[in-house]
Amino acid sequence: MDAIGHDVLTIHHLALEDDPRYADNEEYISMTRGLLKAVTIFDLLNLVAAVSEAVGERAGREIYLAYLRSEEHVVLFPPPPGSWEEHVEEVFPDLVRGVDYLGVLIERALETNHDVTRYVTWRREYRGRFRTKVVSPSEALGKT
Amino acid sequence: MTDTVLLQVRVSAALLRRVDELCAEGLFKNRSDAVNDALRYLVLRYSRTSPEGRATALYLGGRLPRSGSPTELVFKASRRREEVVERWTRSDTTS
Repeated sequence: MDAIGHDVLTIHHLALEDDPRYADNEEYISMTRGLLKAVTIFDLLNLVAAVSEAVGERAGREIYLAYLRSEEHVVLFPPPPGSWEEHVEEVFPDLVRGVDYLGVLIERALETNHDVTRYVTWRREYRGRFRTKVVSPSEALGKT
Repeated sequence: MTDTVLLQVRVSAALLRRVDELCAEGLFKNRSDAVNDALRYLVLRYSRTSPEGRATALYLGGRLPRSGSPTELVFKASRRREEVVERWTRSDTTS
């Protein structure tokens, strides 16, 4: 099962047609229609922020609830930290590997579901840093 | 006098021992007083929760009805698209 990054979802939900990535992005979204997909809570919350900024608060709230209610999506929530000491200790090994904090949170959420085999994003900096395979929508389509 | 009803609930023996200790310390007059306080707190907590917070709690508890897909939700961005791309999708990244 693929987990989809917030950038891919943002390009789709805001129909950023002028973006050079739009065609492959849409093709990927179409390809996965009807299939079960994952989205981490951190990606979903960032999508809420993007939609809220670009469209408005109501749309941001709407998209959040739509993903929770979706029968095609699993929202991945990692266990909440027991304490800040514990949390810092847990994220530190990944931070020192050069993964940014959002990336660490995303990766930890991905690892809560063993069915997730790929993380689909346009962000290249997670390649080779995530334990989960990271591919772009173009690569997921087998184009590159 | 406030209208009251009898509420029969099952709780663990360990939890009840802790409640009894709190009563013994004088924090509550009796078990009923403690349970009333806990229920007031529960109602207050959920009365402050947003629809998103409630939906999240239901989702995590596996009790949120699931149907449809958000894929069809496509919005028209009111802000300049370039700004949105730059901020939220990092235009410097490529396939």
